[in-house]
Amino acid sequence: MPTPTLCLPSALALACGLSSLLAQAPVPPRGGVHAASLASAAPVLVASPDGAMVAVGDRYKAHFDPRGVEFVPAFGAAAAHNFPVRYELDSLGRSGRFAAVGAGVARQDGLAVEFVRPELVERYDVRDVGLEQSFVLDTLPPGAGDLVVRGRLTTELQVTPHAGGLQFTLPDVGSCTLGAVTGIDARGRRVVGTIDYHDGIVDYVLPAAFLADAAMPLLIDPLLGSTITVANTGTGEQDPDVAFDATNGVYLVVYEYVFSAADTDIYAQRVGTDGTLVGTRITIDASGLNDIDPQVANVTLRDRFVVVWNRRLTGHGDVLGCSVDAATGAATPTVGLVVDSDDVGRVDVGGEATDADQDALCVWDNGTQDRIDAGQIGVNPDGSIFLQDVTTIASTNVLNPRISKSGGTTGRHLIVWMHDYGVGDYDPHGAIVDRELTLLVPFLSFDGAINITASVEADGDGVSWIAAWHVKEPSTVQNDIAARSVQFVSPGNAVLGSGIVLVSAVSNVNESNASVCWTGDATLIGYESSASAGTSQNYVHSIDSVSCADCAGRTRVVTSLSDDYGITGASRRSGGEAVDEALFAVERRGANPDVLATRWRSDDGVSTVVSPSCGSNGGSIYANCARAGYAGFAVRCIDAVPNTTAILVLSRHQSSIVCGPCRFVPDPYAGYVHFTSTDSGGAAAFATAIPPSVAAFGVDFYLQWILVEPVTPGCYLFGSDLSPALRTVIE
Amino acid sequence: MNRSLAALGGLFFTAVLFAQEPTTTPMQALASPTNLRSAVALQDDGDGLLALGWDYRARITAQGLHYTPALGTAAASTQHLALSLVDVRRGETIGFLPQERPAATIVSERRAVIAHGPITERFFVTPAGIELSLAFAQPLPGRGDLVARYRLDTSLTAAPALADGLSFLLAEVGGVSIGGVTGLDAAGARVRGSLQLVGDCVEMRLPAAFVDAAQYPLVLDPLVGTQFLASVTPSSYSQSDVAYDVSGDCYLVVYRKALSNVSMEIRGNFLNSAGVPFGSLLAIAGASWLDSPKVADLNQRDTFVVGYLQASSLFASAELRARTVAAGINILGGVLIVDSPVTAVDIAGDNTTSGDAALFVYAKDAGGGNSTVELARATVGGFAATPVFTGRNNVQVPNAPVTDVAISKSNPSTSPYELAWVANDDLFTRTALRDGSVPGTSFGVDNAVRGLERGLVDVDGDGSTFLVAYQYDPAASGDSEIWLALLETDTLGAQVFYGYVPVDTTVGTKQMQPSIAWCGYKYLVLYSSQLLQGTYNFDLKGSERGFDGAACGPSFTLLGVNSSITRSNEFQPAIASKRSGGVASEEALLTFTEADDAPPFASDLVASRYQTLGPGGAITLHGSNCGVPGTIGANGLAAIGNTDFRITLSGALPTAVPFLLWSLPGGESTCGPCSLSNTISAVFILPSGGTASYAFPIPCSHASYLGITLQTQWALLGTGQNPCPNFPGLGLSFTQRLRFTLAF
Repeated sequence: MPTPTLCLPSALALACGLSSLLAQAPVPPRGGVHAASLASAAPVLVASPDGAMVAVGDRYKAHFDPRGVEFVPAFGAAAAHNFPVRYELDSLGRSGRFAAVGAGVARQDGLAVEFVRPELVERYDVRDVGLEQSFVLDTLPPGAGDLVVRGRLTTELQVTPHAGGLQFTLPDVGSCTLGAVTGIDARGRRVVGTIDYHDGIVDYVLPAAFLADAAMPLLIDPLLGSTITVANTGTGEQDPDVAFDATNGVYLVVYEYVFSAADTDIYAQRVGTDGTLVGTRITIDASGLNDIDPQVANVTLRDRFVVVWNRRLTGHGDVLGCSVDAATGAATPTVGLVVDSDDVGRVDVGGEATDADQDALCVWDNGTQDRIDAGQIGVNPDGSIFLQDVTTIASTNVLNPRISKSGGTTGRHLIVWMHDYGVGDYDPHGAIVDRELTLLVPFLSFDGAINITASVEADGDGVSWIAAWHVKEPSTVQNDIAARSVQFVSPGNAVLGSGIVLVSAVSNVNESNASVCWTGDATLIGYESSASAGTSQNYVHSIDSVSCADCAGRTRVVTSLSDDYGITGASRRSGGEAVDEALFAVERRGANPDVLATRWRSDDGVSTVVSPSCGSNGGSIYANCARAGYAGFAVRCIDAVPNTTAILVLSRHQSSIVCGPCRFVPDPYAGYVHFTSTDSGGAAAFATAIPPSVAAFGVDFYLQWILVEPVTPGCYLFGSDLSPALRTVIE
Repeated sequence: MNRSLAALGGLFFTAVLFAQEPTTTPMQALASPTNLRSAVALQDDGDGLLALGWDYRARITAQGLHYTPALGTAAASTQHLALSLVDVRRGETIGFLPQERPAATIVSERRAVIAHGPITERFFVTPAGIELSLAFAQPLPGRGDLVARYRLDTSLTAAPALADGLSFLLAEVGGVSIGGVTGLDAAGARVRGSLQLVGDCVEMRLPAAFVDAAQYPLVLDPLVGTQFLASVTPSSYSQSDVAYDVSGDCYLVVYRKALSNVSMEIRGNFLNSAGVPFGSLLAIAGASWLDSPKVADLNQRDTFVVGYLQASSLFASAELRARTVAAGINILGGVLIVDSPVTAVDIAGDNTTSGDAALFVYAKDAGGGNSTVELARATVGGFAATPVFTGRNNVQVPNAPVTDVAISKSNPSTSPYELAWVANDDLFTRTALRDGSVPGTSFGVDNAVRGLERGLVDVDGDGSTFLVAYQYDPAASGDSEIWLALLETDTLGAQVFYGYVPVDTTVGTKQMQPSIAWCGYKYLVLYSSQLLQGTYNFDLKGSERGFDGAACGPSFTLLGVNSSITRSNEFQPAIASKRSGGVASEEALLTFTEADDAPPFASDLVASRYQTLGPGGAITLHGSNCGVPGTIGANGLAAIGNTDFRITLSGALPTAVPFLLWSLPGGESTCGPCSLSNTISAVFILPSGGTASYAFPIPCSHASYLGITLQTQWALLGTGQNPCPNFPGLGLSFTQRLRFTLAF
């Protein structure tokens, strides 16, 4: 039965700010790209650590306390600070006689907050666009005149009448509104009321004639919010990052939400592998301070995401963090990870894709000490986190560190940073660490030329990584995107697997801010590309993970005409799942600022490990970019027995030879048997172009390296170790 | 089929009590296994002369010799070495300079020439390579050594010179050698010449003294052959199939040979009924990627039909192609592209003299890892004529991957064929008719038919009864077993299932790749069997089966021809029974791959003749005739499975009344000149003109009587003589006693 009520609808629907979060995305077509909007996220209502309830909607947030509600429109960085609108219910009466309302008992009813008072129930429904305020009266107050519900409004904003309601304006920035009031009785009869405002007092008024025969209870329903005008200032959600949890099959997108220049919050949203939103928006930190640059990684053992960010305080910055339960979306309370007087920032976090450890690795830039530091973020079974074993990775003229999204199967990470050599020479450097932060390879130089490079990023699988950065074009002010691979050999020894490859170098177009996403079958390089101001577009370019050669070309991530920035992504491989798919998130600026997400699967072949390696030096096998027409196709082994005979068997058919703990998979009598040798780093390759024929689509084959190891063979049949066996499908 | 033994049931029951130990019968291979290395070919295929040896392919054109060593899949790309005659000198004098380039011509089965006038380039095709020689009809002008210079073009790298030759190699794989030069004159005088690489020319040199004294014609003679390094040999030969044609009285073995990773051939060899290779090597197809060659016979056309999968590379989907080969003759028809993309195929011919169509059952890639099962039909209008596609019918759309297909081959085409395939680990069958139609519906025979290697199922039968042999792995452990399913069908496609029969259910090892053929009295099943768990050592095993699938003969292991320690894998068996060629014979030819168990996994093919009906036990005569008895004899072998065995009487008086006496050996007696058996049973047989015959089928179901000996003797009444005084006045004569022992 519907509740018979008399409504006094008003709507304090203050939907100021930017739409956000992820909308449903259908499954991308095979080999295709699908852009999924992050707009129109579901609003959320959560309890803050201090017990108060916080609502977050599209372009606003609201705090509830026993006395009332504080509605904070998101005006973005153009607002010097937050400009909340505070409403407190004061009194109730008819014919000019008012009685103060009694104290309320707060309770949550789904996505609504109710204050149950002796005279009425004051209710706030959390909507996308604002708060829907309503009052339910079971009995009318004494008297015969109009019914007035009186409240107090407190705000720095300019308050003016607007369309039967009120408008709250921050000049040149934005505004929000308080909508008209409606009364609804228990029989459903309606009446339009009025809103009167003077000196901070706001009265919702329903006419006496309606009340004369109104059936109780009565609902008074103002709409608090909606009708937002936001200046084109690039406010709202921005600066996303992504990670993936394989156990629960969800990505977590974290991002900033700029309420004002003094208040940036961190939020997150889980996204399923089918692109649907999972659960509601997650409030990571809504402290009212400037919390920026969120980064996220996954710790498989705990099935949790670790989120870190930078809190900008006066004169310095801290690193904070929390974890998010991948199954429920519950976030743990914020923990200060690096909290001292040093100015730290540019924090990043790399995850743990195996069950071997409970730690994520965190890197940050200590600007005060001019060094790159790193620490392990331990994740307890209850999700609480702590920082330990802080160590310095590099120092002196270093900045902007980044770390690979996960340590792959080995737990080894590549940490990269920029080195300022002065006089316009910045070089991208790196180091390889293990999951305990032991420096395995303390220094790598990816580009030692005297030029200006910036924004180095990295990702890999724990054996091989790609570092990508942007580099200034020689004769213009624009940048190009460069990349280079590196492979771990042994402690103290890594090899650069390719030269510096310009992934994208369109002249007079500024290509910048590369992100790197290792999918297993290729590496995806995301970057911004802008020919002129306000026209930035984001692209993803698929490259061979070892040679960095073009694999599946580039594709624009979001094909609208909007101004997009800040592309970043995470593969399902980074969460430990052998699936060739990723999610990219971008930041859209302009009139409708937004964070958008794109599920991604490149037509770069699909390789699946069908048998693990055997022996201690079976290494890893790669068959990147198995796509028709890829002339640079090569099957590689890395990190295998050094300086030995390596035999690649590649076949359309399988055998079933069990050899010790592993299996020899490709049928050697029906395929290629290619002899070569590994180098001193245990690497070998067999290049064989894939013809540009449609007949190649969908063809699958099996491949495995036999690595002669007569002394301690993992596979005694052949006196050798065996690499993992792959099944590769050409796309 | 048990009728004769039913009459003698008591006898057999008694007999087993004192039966001898079963005779240990060796496998009935008719000859030592044969490999096919000795065959060569020289033919004009329209693109010039093509020479084939086991380890090479060569073109002989007006420009000279273009030699391609078959280095196997260890070679990432196809290698070549070409020699083109530049000039011939005596000392510094150019004695011969080819002005024109006459075409190469075939002058004999193995020999081609380029006639330059006074000089003839000769190319002799040998299994080891091309023997290149220069024949000089008369002396050339000039003095000094005789030097023939050939321009060299090769993808290989010159290796340090051999003792008397040159070597060009692909590192760690192999290459081409040019053997030592020999000079031979008309009087038979010989001299060793020399061979030298000078710039881009190979110089073949004979010493001046020999040349000056030589009687002409003079021949200069090196050998260009494929060279394999000791440590790395190619893995080249696999995937054989075989069929028999009665008119040519020959088998055709087809197989895949890898010249390199990007160059493969489907080749063929003829073997005669004795299992001896003859004729030329057949170059049936050449492409970057070839797979699954299959062959069947069209009796009416005296033609084989070869089907195979061809792709532009390992990385491309494959077309199903077909072409014909004349039985016993190196004549090939054109190529028919049957369908694409195809992932597995089997074909059947027509063993009657009234059908001219081959049937192709195949798995067609439907995308997404799924396949459909199709049956296509192609007719052959004449001797080695190009197949003509006549239609296709869908057999099943399983919405699943189809991992193997098979079609029966031995049934007369006037009776139904049986199709079998494996889709998503389930085994199905369906009936097909010679017009390519598929009456009835698919029948699910069994599940858990799985294995990673190809060759999960095969089927054969006599047109009414079919046995399906398949690889069964209910636990998905990889230790699969071999089973048979017994089915009957008719032209309406109604399939009646009679049950499963295990062939090899050895626990802990893998049995795989079954092949089956109906050989008349029995079926023959072959499969590859893992020697020990965890080893890469497979033997080829066989088993003779009766019509009900039960064992009917010895189980055996087929050996290869190479006994090296690494040559321990025998697999991919194929069988062609003569029945599949329309001959009422128990013979078959078996082929299989014999391969090394370690890199580079070198492999060869082996062929072996086999006869399913064994020699049977001894048939002997004892005692002496008496009176006018005629002659006792046996028709056929006293072999288990021989359902046509008979006891015969011939040369008796037309008026005599014959009784066949049955006894066990022992207790014989004499009566006058007669030697009488200890008779326990007597059967009257209606005579015909002094002859009589008693059918004594020995079906497989009575293999348990293996080793017992029976004795028979004809007693004839009314012969007019009474040699045995115990039976006066009956005119009773007796034949000798005939003993036979039941054996395989």
